[in-house]
Amino acid sequence: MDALHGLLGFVFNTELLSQYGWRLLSGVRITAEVVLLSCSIGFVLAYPICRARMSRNLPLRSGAAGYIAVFRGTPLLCQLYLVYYGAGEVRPWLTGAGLWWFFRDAFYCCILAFSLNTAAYQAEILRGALGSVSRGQREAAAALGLSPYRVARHVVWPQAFLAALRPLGNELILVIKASALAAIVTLLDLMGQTRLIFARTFDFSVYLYAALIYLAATEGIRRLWNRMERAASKHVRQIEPLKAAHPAPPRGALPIVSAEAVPPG
Amino acid sequence: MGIPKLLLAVGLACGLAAGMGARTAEAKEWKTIRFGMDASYAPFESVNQKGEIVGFEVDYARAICAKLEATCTFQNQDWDGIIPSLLSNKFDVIFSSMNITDARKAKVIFSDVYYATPIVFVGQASEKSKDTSPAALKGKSIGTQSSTIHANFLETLYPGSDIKLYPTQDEPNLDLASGRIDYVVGDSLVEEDFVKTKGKGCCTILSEVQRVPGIHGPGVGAAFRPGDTDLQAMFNKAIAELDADGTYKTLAKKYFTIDIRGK
Repeated sequence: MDALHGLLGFVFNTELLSQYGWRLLSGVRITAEVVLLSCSIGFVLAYPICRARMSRNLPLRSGAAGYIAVFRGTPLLCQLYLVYYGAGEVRPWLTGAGLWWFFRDAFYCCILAFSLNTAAYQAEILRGALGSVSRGQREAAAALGLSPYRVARHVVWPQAFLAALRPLGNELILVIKASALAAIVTLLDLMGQTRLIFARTFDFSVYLYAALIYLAATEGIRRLWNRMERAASKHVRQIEPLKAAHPAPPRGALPIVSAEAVPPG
Repeated sequence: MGIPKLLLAVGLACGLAAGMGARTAEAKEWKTIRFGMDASYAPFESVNQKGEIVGFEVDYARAICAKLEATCTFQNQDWDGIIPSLLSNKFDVIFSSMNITDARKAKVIFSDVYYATPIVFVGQASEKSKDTSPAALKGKSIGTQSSTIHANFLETLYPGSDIKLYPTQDEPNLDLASGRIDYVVGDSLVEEDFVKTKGKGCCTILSEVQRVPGIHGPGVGAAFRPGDTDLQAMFNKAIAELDADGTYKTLAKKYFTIDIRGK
């Protein structure tokens, strides 16, 4: 009975929550800012990087491939340290270039490191999605006399978007979890506040609360993504029954949809 | 996965974690004593080029082990997790410049004080004012290591300043050198080492912090699990013996020019 009481006290620690709850909330705000800003900036950067990666121009293509290899192939922690403490080492040069105000701030350094990192991953997701739309689709659309813009807008992108949606959601979840690294460069995000509260109280429950908040955020995104995917794949489901009558075309003209989005039956 | 199922899964995982944490204390002979240290705190403990942990506290711990006729092992442990690691039996004693405070006493038991050094404010070399009162430092940024008495001191008495907390003491020093923060609070010996080496030219020691009894405590002691009172008594005896036979003085002389023994 004592053990159960102890466990309940651990899980529902009202004293800790009333004293430090607002600190956790301010941490959630910082985490949300870091994640949303870096994911959006990353997304904007990802498209040009993806086009460069698929370009016929060799220097452009190898430049993008190198960028992606570096940012996907090294730990984010290492990149963050390089941006934050690396900037400190070259301060005279940065001051001369008028950039020190940016690198002085831990928040901007985090945004920069996280954006550059997630841009590399998102570029590869976009490239994979564009690659999943079969060549025949473009050719057929072109044969109908559609302009290149219309081919992209009405034929390629709707299909590529569906293929990219789920991996982009996964990337968002990964960035949320990776954002906990911001705490080590003095940013008081959710993890930073958690560590601070723990340092004051030596109370483990605070890590449990942090974990539950992260879990709620990632679970919320997972559910939101399920809905988005269902909404975006309406047309695919509508033609589903036709598939039985007409065997699927050989090279996957239909976009690949994850099992979760396909309705039962 | 529906919400009820998810909650069940989370609950089970938590219960499992809590069950693993429970551990029964058992009497030990203390043939080997495992020391946990955060080796980023030269000259007390740091990692040398061969990857060994060296420093004053390592030498002192060896002297204690010699008195206790036990074998010593040393583990490098991140500071923020050092008390949880002790409590979960990763090692037997924290010997890592840990100041004895009331908050920590709620989790661990301490030996007698084995050193007490001044705490200082370090600032930019260009800083003319030696005034480091909360009023003078309003709106300035001050860095220190998180989970330390310095962090607690700054957060309690300097609410008007921007307090930056870092995983180790090396990092606020780096940020002071690069001009990202205005002040650092730290142990005088660590900071003197810093302003003589990496921080040469950039940074200077400005003032000494008056110890606040409720925050700073009496000084540094070894920390043990609450059940290990036998080990605590053995350490206290060894500390007293090393004072009496002059070993402490000899060891300290190797590292420090000032007296760090405190009272």
